Amino acid sequence: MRWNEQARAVTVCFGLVGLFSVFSVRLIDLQILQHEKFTALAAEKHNHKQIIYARRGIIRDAHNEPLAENIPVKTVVADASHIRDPGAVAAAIADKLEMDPRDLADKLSQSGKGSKHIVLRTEIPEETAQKIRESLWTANLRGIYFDQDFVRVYPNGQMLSQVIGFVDHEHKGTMGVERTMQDFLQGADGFRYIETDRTGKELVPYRGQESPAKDGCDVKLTVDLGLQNIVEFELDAACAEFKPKNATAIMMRPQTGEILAMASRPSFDPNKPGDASPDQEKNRSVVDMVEPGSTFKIVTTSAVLEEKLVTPDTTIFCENGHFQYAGRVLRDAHPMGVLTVHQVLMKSSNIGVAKLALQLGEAKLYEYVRRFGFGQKTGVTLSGEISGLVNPPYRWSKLDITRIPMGQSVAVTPLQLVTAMSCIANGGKLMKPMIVSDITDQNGRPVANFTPETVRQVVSAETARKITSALKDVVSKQGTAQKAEVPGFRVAGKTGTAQKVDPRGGYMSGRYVTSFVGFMPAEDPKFTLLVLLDDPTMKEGAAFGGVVAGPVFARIAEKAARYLDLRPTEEIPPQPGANGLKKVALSTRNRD
Amino acid sequence: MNRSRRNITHSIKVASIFKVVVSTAILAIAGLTYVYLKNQLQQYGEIQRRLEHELIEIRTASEAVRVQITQLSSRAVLEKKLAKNSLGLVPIASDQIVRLNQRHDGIGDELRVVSNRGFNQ
Repeated sequence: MRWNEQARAVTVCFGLVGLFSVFSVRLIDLQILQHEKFTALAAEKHNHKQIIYARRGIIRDAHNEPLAENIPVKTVVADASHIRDPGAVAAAIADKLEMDPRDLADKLSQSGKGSKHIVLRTEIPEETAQKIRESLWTANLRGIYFDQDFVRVYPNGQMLSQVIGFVDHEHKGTMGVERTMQDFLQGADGFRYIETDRTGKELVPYRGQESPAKDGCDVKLTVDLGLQNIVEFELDAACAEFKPKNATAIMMRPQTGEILAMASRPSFDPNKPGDASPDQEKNRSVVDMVEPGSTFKIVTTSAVLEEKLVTPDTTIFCENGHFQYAGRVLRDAHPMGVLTVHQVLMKSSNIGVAKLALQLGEAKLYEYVRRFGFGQKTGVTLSGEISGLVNPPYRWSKLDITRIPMGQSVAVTPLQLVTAMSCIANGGKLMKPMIVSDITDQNGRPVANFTPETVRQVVSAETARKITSALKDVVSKQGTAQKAEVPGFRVAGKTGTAQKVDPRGGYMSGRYVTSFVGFMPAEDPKFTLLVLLDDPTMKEGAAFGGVVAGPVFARIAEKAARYLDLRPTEEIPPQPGANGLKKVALSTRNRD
Repeated sequence: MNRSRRNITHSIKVASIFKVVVSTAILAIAGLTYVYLKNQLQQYGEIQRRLEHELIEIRTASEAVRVQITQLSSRAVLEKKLAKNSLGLVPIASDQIVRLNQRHDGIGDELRVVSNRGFNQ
């Protein structure tokens, strides 16, 4: 009896030991031998790396008006492993996603139970996301989630589009400031390792490593949207009137090189970049080069004055409009006899300036062309800038010494041209063009500050003053650009009428690039402005820079003077329909 | 006699029982506290998650409204509205602007008589 009791006890003990041994072995197998495998499996099911998206920086104008913003949107994703009834889920949300319920149900079913991230729709507004949430809640369904995303928007549409650029579907800048400032604008996405329960809900106490998102910096441009608006409005009006192949206008502050406005036509809406052609996307101010024509005459004239080879009163015989050199005839638009250097620039004599260049010599001419910044990139922070085309003297033909001074056989970008004119307006000091003024982080702390940069003193202030004097007379009854006059102000500027280069060689007959580049007020310049119209539709022989681009300059400059509240320096002639108020205006002004 | 009587008494070991009870109670309380704290942690985590979500939603909504304001007050939209509503705004001609000169004598903001003699003559 006693033995039996002991035997039973021992048997039970062995049984229990055996049983627990089996459990122990299994436990060791699960916890030690297969630890890695099951940890990975658990992690796959419950651990996720949650991305915390960084906000792309905002682009603003000089007065902090937003030029590029972000609209928050949602990406709708499905986790098939959480969906029991794809048909019911599809029926609940298909109409909100503007999808066919059957297609949606198929998508949810065919993706298989293992698919944890099926993208159903991108860029849906916040309100739609809320409606979907409510529908799912009402129907007691789950498995649909929302990822935070954003869409880049440009509130001003086409305005400044080529300068700002746009972003691609990965939110990377593809052109303009969006591209050049990509590193500052994009920020850095953060992350957080999270654990979820079986319903997909995060278990906050088990949060793992976390790195916050670093939002992109805000970029402030030098562009003044008020001036930009004026420039674009008048450029559109000019395009409607003259129907040019393309048009460009740039406004710059000569003392600092800050670009105040920059526009090109044709243009595009950066909110719909897919609709734009490559031609519309081009920022012609920096990616196109043209033969500048007579606007280039300021280079040779400045050079000969700076080298003291002549004075403004030195006389040049302009061969009565017919000058034979190197076997070819060079002509003036109107036959002219003896002119002073001042008049050569004022009347834009090709022969006069060619003779000045011959006096200067090839090496010196090339040196000054380079010193004015032609043939090299300006270094502005805009994408795709080209350097233009200026050949060194050893590649010049015998004719080039007479052609380059009048803006042939060289190709320049509109930005180079306006920068060179700004150099004259700025007392001979060449400034590096600026489009970005500063970069700040999300707390407003400065990250980078762009200060005006002097490239070099190209000519002396005295030479610049002499050139300015001649350029003032260009915009007068005696000059070539009377139509560029602005009531109340003295304008200094130069017209350009360049025959279009034929890609097959030579020049196209009757087709011109017309331009006017000048600054105002001439005595104390507040802005330099270039207006360039490529191939305007005009009557034969009427397509001159002073006739086409000059009036556009005048209209922009007049409005800009009002916008900048510039004080008139001359009497404003009475306008038709004006009342007696003008008398008061003049009398108060004279009391200065 | 006394010895044998003591042997069959089987006195209750109160101290030992007390120790066991106290230990068990401590363990039980510790266990319950652990569960309670764990539960609290879970609840606060849930609250934190909800608040974070609400904060994101509010920020997102605020951002969306801000962008909407920017868009509606952009120059392009305002100019379209101006053209559509034909407000008839006419720019002031340059010769109709009266400029009042600033005094250069360094005297402060005292009142001065301003006369627009000649106005509408």
